[in-house]
Amino acid sequence: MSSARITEQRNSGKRKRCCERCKEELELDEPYFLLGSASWHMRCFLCAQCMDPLVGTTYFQFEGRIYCEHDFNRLYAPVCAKCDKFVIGQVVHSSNYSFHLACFTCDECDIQLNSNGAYRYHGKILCFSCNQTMPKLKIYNCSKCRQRVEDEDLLMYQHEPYHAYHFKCTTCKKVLEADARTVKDELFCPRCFDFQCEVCFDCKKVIDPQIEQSLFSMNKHWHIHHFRCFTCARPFNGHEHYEKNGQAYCRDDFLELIGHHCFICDKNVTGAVIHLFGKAFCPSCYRCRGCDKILHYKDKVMELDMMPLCKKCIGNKTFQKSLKYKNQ
Amino acid sequence: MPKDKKKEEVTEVEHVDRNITLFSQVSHMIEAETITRLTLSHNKLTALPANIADLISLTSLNLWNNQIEELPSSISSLPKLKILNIGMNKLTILPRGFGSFPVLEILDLTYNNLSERSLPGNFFFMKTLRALYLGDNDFEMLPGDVENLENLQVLVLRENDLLTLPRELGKLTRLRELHIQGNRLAMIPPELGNLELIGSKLVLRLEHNPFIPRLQEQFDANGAAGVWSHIRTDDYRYFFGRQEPSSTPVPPKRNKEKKVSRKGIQQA
Repeated sequence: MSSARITEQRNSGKRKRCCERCKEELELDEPYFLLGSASWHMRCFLCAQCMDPLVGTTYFQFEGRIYCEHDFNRLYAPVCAKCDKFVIGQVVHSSNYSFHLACFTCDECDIQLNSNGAYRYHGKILCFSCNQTMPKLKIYNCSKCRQRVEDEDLLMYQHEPYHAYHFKCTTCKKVLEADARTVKDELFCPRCFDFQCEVCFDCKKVIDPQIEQSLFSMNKHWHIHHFRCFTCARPFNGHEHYEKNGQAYCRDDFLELIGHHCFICDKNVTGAVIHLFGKAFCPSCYRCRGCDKILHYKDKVMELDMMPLCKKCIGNKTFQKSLKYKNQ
Repeated sequence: MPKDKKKEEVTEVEHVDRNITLFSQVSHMIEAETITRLTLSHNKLTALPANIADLISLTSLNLWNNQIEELPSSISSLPKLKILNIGMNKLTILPRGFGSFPVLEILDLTYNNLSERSLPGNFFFMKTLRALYLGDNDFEMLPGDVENLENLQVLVLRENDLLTLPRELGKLTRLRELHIQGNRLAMIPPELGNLELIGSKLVLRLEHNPFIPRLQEQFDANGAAGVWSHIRTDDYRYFFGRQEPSSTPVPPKRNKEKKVSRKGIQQA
């Protein structure tokens, strides 16, 4: 299955080409489509289901036939095992099931799963932690000592059941329990496993790579949902971030921080920002508080309540009288 | 009068210092439904007509330095008004419903004759208000309702007659500028210490108040920053909590007979 935009070719005549659909030979210099090793007349490049021309559209290919997007989805799109709807776009495959990315969550605790950390249990799909807490499905016999293994001692290693206490931690040599973790083919106690993990800079907790998704930015590790704006705490979710003083911000809060939010119109400043009176102004918003005249940042103004009053308004007789009364 | 463009095209109208005494002198030059900015500063208007509410696109109204004594209550229905400047007028009371401006962000009432008795019941419920200029008025106190101005960033109470500040001011977490200079404040409620007002782009003006000695000493030594860190101490909190309501004598008001905004005073 593939979907792509295709470009035309021109038949140079070097090789004999037959159209995949009508089986007739292509003329010299005739434009045609080339898909892998198959050639198609442009007029024959039609959806196998609805016969609509696929020229210039996204097409899908399956088992030698080509389809328009709509029919391909109707015929072949997988059905999400969780919500029972067609999965268009990003699909997650796990064992024999398919899921929407957003539906690929633990049936018990609803956290997002990734392909590593999904476990089947009684027809449910669970995360690592929930799977651990479930009562075991079968009664196992230890592959080492052949004795029955109680649930609380069970450790699966290389797909075989064992008593956990037969093993020691690779790092600290402590006798292991059922909560031991496997990395490649080595076993570790939970503490030594955590020591190998990165720590999320936000919550300061260990990022468990077998269960949780993380990202690396600003030279630090973060849980996906913990890499967020310092002001509004919204996760960046792959969107751009802006850094200042070692903190990350979303666009609006960054502009707010560096003082480019106009005091008058309450929006991010359009044009060359004017910084005066502890505030920022758009050039068209920097006006005299008395007469609304647009001011230039170099204009001589009187500061009244941290707002500008132009020379003309300062000179106004009533205003001068009011100042005089105050200074009595 | 200078030539204006065709009435329909002009959305910003200004007639500054033109000796205008009646609003009707300019209303024929205004396209009521499209005008966005109206500037009538430095004139001699004494009132506004009720049909000011017809200016449904108005975002900015500047009436600085006129002689307006009363406003029509319809003014608060202007649906798009964000900036209202009625500074330097002769207002003694605000009309009923004045707090129901739907989107007002900047309100300038500087230099009028307003006091806490002039405010209608819903005045402090303007959630959109970001800046409130009440300098040069006659406020002796502010009601605790002030805490409802959740978005307030600038509060100017310069040169009023304030004897106390409400502790509820401490809840205005967005406040960046507090101007309380030139009042009759002896103390500051410790709750105001919650506000971050010391730093760049922040303004705290406290001077010219009859502060009690321990606060005045802090101010003389370390300025506003010193006063603010002092009111945050446990010592001050305890002291403030133990004050009797009228243990300090009330400082006298300034003589305001000749204040330009008073009725009867001729304007230049």
